Amino acid sequence: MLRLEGLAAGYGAASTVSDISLQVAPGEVFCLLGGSGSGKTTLLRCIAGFLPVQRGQILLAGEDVTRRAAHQRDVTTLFQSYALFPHMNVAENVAFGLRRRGMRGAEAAARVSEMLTLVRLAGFEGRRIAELSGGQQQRVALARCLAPRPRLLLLDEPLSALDPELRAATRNDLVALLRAQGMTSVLVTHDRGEALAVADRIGLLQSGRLVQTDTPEALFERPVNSAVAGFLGDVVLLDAVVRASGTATELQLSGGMALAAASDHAPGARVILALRPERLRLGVASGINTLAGHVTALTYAGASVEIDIALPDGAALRVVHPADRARPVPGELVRVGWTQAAAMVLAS
Amino acid sequence: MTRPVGLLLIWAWLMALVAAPLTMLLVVALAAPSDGIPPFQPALSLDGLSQLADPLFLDGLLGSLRIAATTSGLCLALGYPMALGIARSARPDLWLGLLMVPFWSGFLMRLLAWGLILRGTGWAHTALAMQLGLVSCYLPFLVLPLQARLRRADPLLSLAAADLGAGPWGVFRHVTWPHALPGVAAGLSLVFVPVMGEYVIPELLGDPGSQTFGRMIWDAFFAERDWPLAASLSLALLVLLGPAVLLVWR
Repeated sequence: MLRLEGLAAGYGAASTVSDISLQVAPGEVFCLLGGSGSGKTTLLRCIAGFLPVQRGQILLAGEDVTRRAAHQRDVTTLFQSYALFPHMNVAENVAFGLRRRGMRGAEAAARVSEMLTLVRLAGFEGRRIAELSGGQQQRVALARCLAPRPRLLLLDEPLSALDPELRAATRNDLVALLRAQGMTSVLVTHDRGEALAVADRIGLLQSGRLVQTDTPEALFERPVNSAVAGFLGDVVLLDAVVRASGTATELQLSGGMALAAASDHAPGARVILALRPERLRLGVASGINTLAGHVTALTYAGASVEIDIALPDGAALRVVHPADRARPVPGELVRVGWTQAAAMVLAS
Repeated sequence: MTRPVGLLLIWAWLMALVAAPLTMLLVVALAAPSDGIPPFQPALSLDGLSQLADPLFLDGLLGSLRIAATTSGLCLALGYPMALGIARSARPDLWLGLLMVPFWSGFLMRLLAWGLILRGTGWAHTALAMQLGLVSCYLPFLVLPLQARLRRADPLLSLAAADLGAGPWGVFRHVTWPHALPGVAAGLSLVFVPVMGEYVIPELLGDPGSQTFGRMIWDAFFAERDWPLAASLSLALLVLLGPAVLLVWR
């Protein structure tokens, strides 16, 4: 449905994003994930037609829309702050895109009420925008975007303006609705939890480049580098050298300890062993995938306790340990173990 | 403490400069003309007010309406792009200051200067010269409230309108203009109302034969010394404009 080819764009002469190529399939929910300054909003503005492209192409349903003005693209945007028209009521807001496409009268009114029912705001037609809560405004904005049945829906941090307690429920509603409508969507977010939960696929942006595009699980389990691993979750990074390659690669840590992990790096290669603290266990019976170290600190986090451990060579580990189990005290020597599948071997 | 004092000051101001003169105007309008000093005698006479029926004054009123409408229209046509330019510039206060530079010189001096400039051109004392003077004097009064309004416009709303399929004209018609409207109304009333009663500019720059309502009031006061008529004319203007202004400000 959407294809970007070698896209570069930015403000002024410099490019904020460059070399962006990606494809979004019909009905897919695609997440552009990145920190602030990663260029995710710039990219969204290009697709919407708000920002001219410096190089490359934007294709929508096979049609080149790169040079087309925003109002001539069959794309609508759910803005972070919703951008509802304050001088119009709910129905007029939702009908705005319909009227611009020449739909009026009973047909438009029927579509408006259909859309409001969809977002559970039936009967709100005559309300002023200022009378609505944040969550209701978000749903009106969504109805306004969906009403003209665009080819593509862009969502710019659609949940960030909501209260945290409202966010999870709204997120599930939003995704359920997008899937039920079969709406091809590109969602921009800086929130990895949001991206992992809603996306069919995630494109991770770092410093204006698309670093990795994958399913949420693949991105979390098989990140291409330590920056990606770190962006998607808490991670412990240990320097290592590949000793022997194959189905069970043998790694040697800088402290001389040998470990097994799945990797296709050649023997002799310097690599980074990345471990998720949630997948590490304390006190596992000795085996190849265990390390011993001294507890340096414990941080209580409710459901779990984060245990910081110093290895003999000075490297640091962290284990997320269930809070209802016995826990070590600072200074205690502990063993940390993990399954081979939990270890990610990344290029150094 | 400061607020009650401030509000009290406003009341005193309104009493001294609005209520008192208005009462005096009403008293004079209902008085009988006389040859003495002052040239009226307190009475409950309808002589002054009944003269308003004279079609001559209707002509004057229509003339002033036309002039005020033309001035308002020209000020809006010139002032809207200016206000938009100011609102969108990186240094709006600087541009606003520059627009105010002519106001550093006296009002009369500026008008006399226009008269001198136009003297040799054959345009002196024409409707065109008067329009020029009116627009040059009143334009900033339209730009000032309008630019303040336009500066508060949310650029995201224009993007949202374009995003939903509105072309440049559609964005202006459905988003930019409705938002600007209160500023336009405030600006227009600051131009239209004073120009309706304007006397000095038509007198100094306009065609001597053309009748405006302001000139008629002046003539009634000073040429005919018919103060009850003059006061009645002034009241008529107030009664006509008052509700219109209230309507606009709502």
